[in-house]
Amino acid sequence: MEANAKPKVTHSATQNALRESLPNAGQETTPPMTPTLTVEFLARLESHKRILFKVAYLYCRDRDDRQDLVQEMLIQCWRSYERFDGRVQFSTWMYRVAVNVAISHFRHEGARIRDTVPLEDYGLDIAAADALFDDAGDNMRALRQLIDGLDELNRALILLFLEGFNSEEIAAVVGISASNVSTRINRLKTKLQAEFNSQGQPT
Amino acid sequence: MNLTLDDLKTEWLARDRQLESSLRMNTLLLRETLLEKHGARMGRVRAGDVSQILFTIPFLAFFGWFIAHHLDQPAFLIPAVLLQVWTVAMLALGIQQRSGLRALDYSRPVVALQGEIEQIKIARLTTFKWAFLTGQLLWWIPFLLVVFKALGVDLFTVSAFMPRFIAWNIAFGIAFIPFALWASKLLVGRLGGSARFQKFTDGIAGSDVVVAREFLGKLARFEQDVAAR
Repeated sequence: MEANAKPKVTHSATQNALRESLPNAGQETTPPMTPTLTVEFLARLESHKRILFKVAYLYCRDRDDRQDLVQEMLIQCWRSYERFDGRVQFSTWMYRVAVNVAISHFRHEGARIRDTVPLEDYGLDIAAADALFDDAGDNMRALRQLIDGLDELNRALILLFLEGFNSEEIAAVVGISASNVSTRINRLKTKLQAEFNSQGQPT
Repeated sequence: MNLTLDDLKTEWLARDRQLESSLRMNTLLLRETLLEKHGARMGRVRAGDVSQILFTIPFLAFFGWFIAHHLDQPAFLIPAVLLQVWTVAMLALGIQQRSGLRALDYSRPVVALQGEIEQIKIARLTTFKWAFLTGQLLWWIPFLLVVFKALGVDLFTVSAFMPRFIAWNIAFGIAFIPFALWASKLLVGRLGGSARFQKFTDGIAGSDVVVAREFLGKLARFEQDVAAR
């Protein structure tokens, strides 16, 4: 898997690499995140930012909701980063945070009051990515249709399967056994197949 | 055509590669915004805690003083003690639940964290429900008894009618608890107009708790090893 294959980013390497591009790094921040951790987090985020978009895509059909969710995931990842201890790979850690935020967001969608600012104001522009995924072929529409019929927990399984995680890795993110993951993924495969058999190519 | 989940995975990974170049990130702007947002959010959180404590302190001090001066008068001591216990309990539960939410570790495995969130939600909803149901009882006649007594007026002796009025009001307040529970359950899902009022009746009826418990059950079922069954 691409994300997991990345070499582990060390604190000092990230810090040195980014200090040059961030002239005032280290001069201002508020607890609990130190300047070093913030710089380090942003360096890691740069190489894993796709995770936020992909999780949001699977949990939100509406573009505005997707932007809200990316924002929430981004903030939660940043706030949680000081607890990241390297025991799991950064990508695994980030999937956990993002999926947890997405499930909470998904469950309270009706009750939420939008009070967020445009995502571009955060320095993260996902418009082109939206266009990429919205310009979907038949297969992506079929995937969308499958996902829409799944609950919040099975969406996480599908996402991680599509990302190329194996059963053990999915189990580590979701918190269930690897055999349970395998069985559930097989069921989802069967479900998809049954839908195709009954409907033909989804529209 | 025979489409499988593995085909979709291939399609997904192909788009993933294009996604890398589509998503743009301005690191400097993002860093500044995160710091600014974090500062504003923490400010609101601190203000919430401090304002609840500041609001509660005068009541705690007043009830404490009142209790100390009316230890030999059970008719006034009991309402004051109940009010004091209610106030302390609400303050403690509020702080405990807020700090519980702040301490949530979103990097824990999904099933574990979602279960924790749901437990906190159930605790908050239950607190709200019983704060309202007991509050309507305590913060009416018992509170008036204590306040007037502190001002030197014994409400029991104001008129011959007053003891009966007090007794009836307390009885009504107690009877209101099962009535409110029953009425809320009756109204759940029937109010189309006000979302806030609907939320309120959901809270009293406990339907939000039911939803939260159902999700906990769903998490437990999801966690069960289906392969072993």
